[in-house]
Amino acid sequence: MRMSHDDAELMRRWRHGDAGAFEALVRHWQQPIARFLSRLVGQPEQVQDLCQEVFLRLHLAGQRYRETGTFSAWLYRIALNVARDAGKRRRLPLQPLPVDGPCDPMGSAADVCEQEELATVVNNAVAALPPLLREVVVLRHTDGINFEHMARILKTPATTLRSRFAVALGRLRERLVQLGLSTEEVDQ
Amino acid sequence: MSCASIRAGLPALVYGDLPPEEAARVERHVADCAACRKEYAALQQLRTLLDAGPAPEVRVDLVALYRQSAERRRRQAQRWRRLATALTALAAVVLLAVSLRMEVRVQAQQLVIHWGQERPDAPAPTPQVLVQTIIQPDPATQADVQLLKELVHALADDVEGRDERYRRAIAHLQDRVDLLQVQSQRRWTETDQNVAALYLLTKGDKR
Repeated sequence: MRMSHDDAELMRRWRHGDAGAFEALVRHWQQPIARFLSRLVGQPEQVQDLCQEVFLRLHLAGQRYRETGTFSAWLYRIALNVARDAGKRRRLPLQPLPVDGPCDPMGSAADVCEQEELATVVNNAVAALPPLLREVVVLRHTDGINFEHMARILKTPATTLRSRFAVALGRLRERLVQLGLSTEEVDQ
Repeated sequence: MSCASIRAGLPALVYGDLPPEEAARVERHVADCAACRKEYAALQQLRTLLDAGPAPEVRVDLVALYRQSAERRRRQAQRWRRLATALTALAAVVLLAVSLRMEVRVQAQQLVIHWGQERPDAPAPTPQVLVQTIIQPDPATQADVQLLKELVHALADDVEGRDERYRRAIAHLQDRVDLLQVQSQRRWTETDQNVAALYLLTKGDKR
């Protein structure tokens, strides 16, 4: 979990007119937000624009921020709304996501290819989930977000989100089996 | 403890969401049960694959952001101004209608707007009565008006007289300036002639 008191201090300075504090917040959060959006939206070419929109809305809403929760929850909520608005405008099905994630550096080229293929399959399966389930899966795999934190972002009880998460994992497992990747193959 | 209840708790175990005692109990069962162990391993692998998602490099354009922010604030202010103007106009119309007790109705295929209190028994005022009232003020007011007229005329005469005096003074000063100009021109001419004569004299002496 990121140091919330740093974010709170930067927000306090920004609200008192320190533009450098806002720019520090942007530098700190642009990559995590980009990663979050890329998983949620599934359109890599849109991530730059969506990220820009997130921080634009942050800049417009900055004076209304009150330190009642955490800054990260507020920021992820903005990002979620941006992604949802983009989803409403989008009419095409989600496209497969490119995989840039870490691979086993000690593995062979064949192992690396197989892992990348599996990761692509999994990301496609995530993209195919209904929005409510997809949001929970993506948020849970975002650094520093547990179910209590997620509950503040989605304004939904943590117990409900745990149930949705379990359902989402079950669907992902079923999808992998349908694609011919049984538990044994995934285990490998 | 049944495998079904254990498997329901496996996602929480994989993601570290179980309390320590509960986690230990589930782990003991997984160690002894091949089927649950397989399920647990599959979920761990799934988590690894989900964690290895895309990580695009993004750089927010701050200059464009500030420009877009200013533009949106300007448009928002414009919308609020329009709304405020419309609401003010509406409030003014409502206030006018209420204060004048305005009544709008359709009567005999005509739109009728009526305001004020109806006095069906009161007779309509006649123009003659109003005119008589205006052209026959009371004596005190008449005397005041006459006095004001006299004062205004006196002031106007005084202003005219003062203007005439100023015009005469200015004309006198103009004459004096002209005279001084002529005198100075004459003196300059005399000086010029004296200087020329002296020059001739000195030139003759040198010969």
